[in-house]
Amino acid sequence: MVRQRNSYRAIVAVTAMLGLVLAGCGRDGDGGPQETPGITDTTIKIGISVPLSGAVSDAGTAQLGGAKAYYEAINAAGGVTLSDGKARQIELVSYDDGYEPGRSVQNFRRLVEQDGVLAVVGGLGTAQNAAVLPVAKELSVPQAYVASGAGLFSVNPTENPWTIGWQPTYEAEGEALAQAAVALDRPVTVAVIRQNDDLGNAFLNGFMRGIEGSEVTILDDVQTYEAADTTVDSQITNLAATNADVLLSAIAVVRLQVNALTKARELGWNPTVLLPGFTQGFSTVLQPSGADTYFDEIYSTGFVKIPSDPQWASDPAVVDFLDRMEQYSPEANANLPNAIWGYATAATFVRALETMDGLTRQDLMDAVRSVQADDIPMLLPGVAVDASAAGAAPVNLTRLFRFADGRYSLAETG
Amino acid sequence: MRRHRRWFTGAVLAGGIIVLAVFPLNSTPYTNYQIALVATYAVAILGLNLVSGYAGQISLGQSAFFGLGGYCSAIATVKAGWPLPASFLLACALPAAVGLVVAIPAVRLRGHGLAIFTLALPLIGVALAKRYADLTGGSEGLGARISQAPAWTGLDRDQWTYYVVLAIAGALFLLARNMVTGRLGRALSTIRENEVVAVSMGISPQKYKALAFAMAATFGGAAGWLYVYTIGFISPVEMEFLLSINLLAMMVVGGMGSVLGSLLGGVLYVYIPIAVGTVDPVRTTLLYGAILVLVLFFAPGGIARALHRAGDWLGGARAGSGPGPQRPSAATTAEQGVSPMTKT
Repeated sequence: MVRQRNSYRAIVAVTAMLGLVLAGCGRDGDGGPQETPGITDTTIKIGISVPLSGAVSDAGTAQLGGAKAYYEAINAAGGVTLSDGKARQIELVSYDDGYEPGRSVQNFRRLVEQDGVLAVVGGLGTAQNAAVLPVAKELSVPQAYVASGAGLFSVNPTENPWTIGWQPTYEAEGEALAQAAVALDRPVTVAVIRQNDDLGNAFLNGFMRGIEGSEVTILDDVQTYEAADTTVDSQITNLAATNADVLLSAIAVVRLQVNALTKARELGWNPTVLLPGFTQGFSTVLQPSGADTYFDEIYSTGFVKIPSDPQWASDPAVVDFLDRMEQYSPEANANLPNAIWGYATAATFVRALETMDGLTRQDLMDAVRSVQADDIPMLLPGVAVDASAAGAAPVNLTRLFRFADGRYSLAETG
Repeated sequence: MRRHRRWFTGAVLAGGIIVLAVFPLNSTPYTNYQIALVATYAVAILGLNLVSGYAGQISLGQSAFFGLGGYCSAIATVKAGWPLPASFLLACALPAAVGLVVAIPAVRLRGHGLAIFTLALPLIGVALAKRYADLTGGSEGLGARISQAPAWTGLDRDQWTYYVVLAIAGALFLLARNMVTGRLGRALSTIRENEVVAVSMGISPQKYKALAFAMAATFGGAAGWLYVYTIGFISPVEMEFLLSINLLAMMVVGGMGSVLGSLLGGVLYVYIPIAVGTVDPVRTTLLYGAILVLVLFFAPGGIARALHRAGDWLGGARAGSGPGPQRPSAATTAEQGVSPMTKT
């Protein structure tokens, strides 16, 4: 009995003590920072979160490598001069998120709280950055130039004042691809296969917007597939039976695209083929499926210069890019599109830094949202950055490519 | 001696609780959320431990229940406007129901039938989450910032989140501990050791395996709720198969059939990538594998069992009574535990 009462007392005492501690809590406020975090007289510190481990570590390593190569080249040339006339070196802090949204969010907090970065720039992934978006808003820290084709990062600047995307959306890509069908300039029918999710849907919506008012019609029977499917044979057989003039093969999985084109070829169907950027590769898709020699017309889209393409072999931007990748980021694969995106994103961000009016995060975000440039390295001729267009991604134009003689080249249409 | 130890354990527990209670007041939001994540994954691993560690069935579907619980909480609160406690109940109940429906046919399969069966769950879950984008937000995921500190506490959001997540996780750990040290745990370990013996004692392996699987799903769903409460977001990525594998690996490293091991698994799941990242993040997967192999080689029972052994050894040395008390093997525990039942 006595023992029981003792332990009861102990519990009350501990609880009371905890209550007191809790009551006296509430973290002290920072008292308002006098200086903008991440900016000193000689440096600008920025952060990035990309997958450096796991299934997509290649893409993440390339994305980071591209950004690093550009910033290091700028640093070697003396740094960035801000509005106060002082040249500063860019310091890039990077963390691995393994492509997990939860870790992306934690990396963002870590970059802001522990490393005190000015902004987080060029993170990779749709869900990963969608998870960060409300945190960026809560902390009022720029989440600039997100590497994702989803529309949500740029579409609503008033709702998401601290976030902006960079590259063209899937809708814009679908819309650009529609030009190929429209340019045939006669009544044509389009057979469609797309991924059975919102991304596949966005792509098709863009395409439908692109053919509005033209003589192009989409067959009602749109075929779909799941990313985990092992084959799309039956879908392609169904589409081939329609004998449509154009095949919009909006397949985002390389092995399934190979499967689709092989099947169409085996069935003796030879439509004009439209491919999304994900699965346009010559050595990865066209050659293995035999599509490169079989189909008369193959179109795809893009917005950056492909370094391995012979037509850019002596292009100064491409030469610089390859040199800098080799010098500063030898661990990254410079031929992955992510390396080029990371590089060009960094170049866009440096433009924003140069045009900042003051030195606060708000000044930076204003500048990030107003970059207009038609000379960002690695972007195709005619593709410009316009971050001021409300509701659209800063790079919102993709060019149409036609495949001929073993390589893609800019199509004359559009 | 035994009483001494109990007192010691109690003191350690009380001290731990006080430290955990005071800790978030002076640490950064990043650290507080990080510890909330540890608790979250520990609950998911704890659920997995019930079905894999205690009942001996390999489940590769824990990420599906984790994601389902996450979607339950996000959809119920953001889309349907439910109060938080109701969303928590839903995040436990729906995975439990799904788990039971899946388990009833699956446990009839012999050997590792359940493993093959559960393999399908994350694949189906991801496809469904992407397809019904109106409800789930599709590939872009669904934001749900449901954690909000009540004004009277004077706490920041991260501190409040920390307390809520740790309190719920603590309650779930207590619940699991009581279950596995009671009748359910004895029945499960008997089944794991020898199904024929279990049947001869009147324990239905199928019934108990299905029950364990449903419990694992419930804990997985609860962990999904805690995740959304901490991160404020859920997407198909969180359901992916890789998470199931990682949870399973961390359970083995932490300690199969051990409540403490589940907690250690959560700690490792969150902190290994950070530790490796300071050296070379590219080697994270390699290191996961290396740790797994090393633990299986040198401490087959996981880190928790190794700690127990070390504790026993120290305890023995302190008392100066020769070799420390032998820790009963799983089989003898089962026999001791089941014997009262056989008498009835």
